[in-house]
Amino acid sequence: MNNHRYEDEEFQYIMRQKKTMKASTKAREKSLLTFQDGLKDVIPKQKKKQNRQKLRQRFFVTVGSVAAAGIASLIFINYDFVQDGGLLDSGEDEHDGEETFNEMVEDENEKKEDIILEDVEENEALVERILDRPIIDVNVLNTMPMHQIQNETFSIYLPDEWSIEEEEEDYVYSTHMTGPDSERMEFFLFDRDVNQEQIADEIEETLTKVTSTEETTVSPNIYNDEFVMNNQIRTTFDTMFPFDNEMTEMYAFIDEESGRFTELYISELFGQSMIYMMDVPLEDKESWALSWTFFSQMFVTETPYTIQGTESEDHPQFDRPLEKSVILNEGAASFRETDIELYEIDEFGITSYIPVNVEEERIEHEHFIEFRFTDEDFSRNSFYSFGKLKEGFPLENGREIMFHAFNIDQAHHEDLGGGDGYGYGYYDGSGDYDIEGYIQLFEVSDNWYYTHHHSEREDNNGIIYNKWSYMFKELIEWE
Amino acid sequence: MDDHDLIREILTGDQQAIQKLHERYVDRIFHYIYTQTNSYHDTEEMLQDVFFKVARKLDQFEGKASFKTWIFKIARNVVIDYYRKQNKERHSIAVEKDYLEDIAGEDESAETTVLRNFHIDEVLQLIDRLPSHYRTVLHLRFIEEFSIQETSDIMGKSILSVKSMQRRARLTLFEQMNLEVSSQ
Repeated sequence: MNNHRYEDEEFQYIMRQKKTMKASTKAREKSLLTFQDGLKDVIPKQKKKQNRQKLRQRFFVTVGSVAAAGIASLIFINYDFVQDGGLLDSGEDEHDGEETFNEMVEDENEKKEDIILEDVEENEALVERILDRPIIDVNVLNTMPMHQIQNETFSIYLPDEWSIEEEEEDYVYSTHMTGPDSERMEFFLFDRDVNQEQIADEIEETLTKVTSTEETTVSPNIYNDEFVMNNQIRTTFDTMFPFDNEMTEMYAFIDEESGRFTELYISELFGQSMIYMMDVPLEDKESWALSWTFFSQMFVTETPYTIQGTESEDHPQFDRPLEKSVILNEGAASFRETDIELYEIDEFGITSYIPVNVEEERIEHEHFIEFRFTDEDFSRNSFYSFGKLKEGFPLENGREIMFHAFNIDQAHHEDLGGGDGYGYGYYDGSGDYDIEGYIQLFEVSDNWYYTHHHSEREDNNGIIYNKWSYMFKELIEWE
Repeated sequence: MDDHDLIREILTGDQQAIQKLHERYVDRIFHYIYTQTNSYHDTEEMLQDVFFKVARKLDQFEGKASFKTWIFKIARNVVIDYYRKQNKERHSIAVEKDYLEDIAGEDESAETTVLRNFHIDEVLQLIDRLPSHYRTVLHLRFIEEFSIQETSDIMGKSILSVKSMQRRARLTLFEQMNLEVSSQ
């Protein structure tokens, strides 16, 4: 212990040698002026409040020590009387009197101590208790209706008979979900330009709905470990929670008196600050798994989805970020974050995005021009490409021309069909490795283009290359 | 007159109290912000922002925590908002966690020995190179002498996480010192 103290002192001594940066005279003056300026409205408001408090004290003298429930009504009677008698400040508007009344009632209701998150500490016994949740049954999950929330940005599963309401305010979009047996979930996502105080206010507001006889902080990793150990179900992202655990604060509250179990998660989801709260009956253990289902099965409704705040500076000519991160789905229910960069094909007059680190190559074929993208770290024999068909391309022979160009053995290939119009799916196992792919021709402004992914099955990347190809087409901007 | 007395006076409109409270904190807040931004110009701007926010919320200050903790918390939020708007730095505390966990159990007296063998200026330079959240925790704990509880209030982190951050900050510094030694 003494050794620690000695080290602290040593460290403190060093830290104090740091040159103290002082504000310049000008900066001090500006700061003081700003301080004074900010107080201009606050001081009169405070004076008015103090006057009202004096008035309230007078009311309480009138009512003496009558029981709390009666106090409100007595005050109300007195309040009417006083207002009629003209004792209130003449400068007050009609709502001020009402506020005064509300404040009085609130005073009577504020007997329960507020929850202060900073004071909540880990309670191991409680953590143990709340980890004991039913596993998520895939059969039950399959029966749950899927809902789109946050203005259809995310998709989630909720049990039957739940209702959802959404609200958009200046800096926050909130989703309120209510179950048939008083279960409740609230989900707030904040705009990127929100300030910390606005978030703190929303947390405070959320906490007013939480009561507790016992509380604890919870490490997201503990939840994650428990989830992985007991649940066989896959999660839509790599981890149980789609947010960064390091940036997350989690709390759990149990109120034995009111019989409620509440969880609060504060984190950042895809670049946006987030508050999530679940409040369910303590006795209904089945409902405890709702929060885990909510996040482990949540997915982005439409991809590619840009993660806010990841955009780099814009390209000076194209006004598009040079780099950013997006969420892409890999298959129906698997999602992953991918870093992408702006890519220009000058001769086509387009820009789009490709994953960082892919190699690109321009290949001139007889009937079309191809831009081929490969990532050898990922797969040596796979690629995806985007290209433009040359004038006079015989569309009626599209399949043959494209298959010939990409060495798809027409004698051995299996036509997977699919697609619309000029879409050609294939599987080819005639070579050294199995390949599956898809070529889609499409027309934009009287010009014909194509997308193509050609994926080695062994690398299990058909899905990835398909998505990268899809992303390229989705994100094209035409000059 | 303590901070709470000054605030009471300010809210009655006492101009001298405004100046006194401002004077009491202006340099400390400036230094605190500068520690995290290393930009004099930005610090000046944020300093004004902090005092404007303090002013606008002063009537809501309940005195549950000390005013010092409260104003530092506001300053911390202003810095976070600044980074968010400028997108200058993505906050993360994933700093070679595994390695640090591994060496966390080593005898801390080794730290003291290494500290002694370094010139103070060199140590200070290494501190400046630490990630901002480490600099913040060291500043709050060793310069402002906030307790672990107060530091956790200001930083919006749990007590455990502040303890761990402080330890990691020191271990990272220690590690960098060792790297300096081995590269010499």
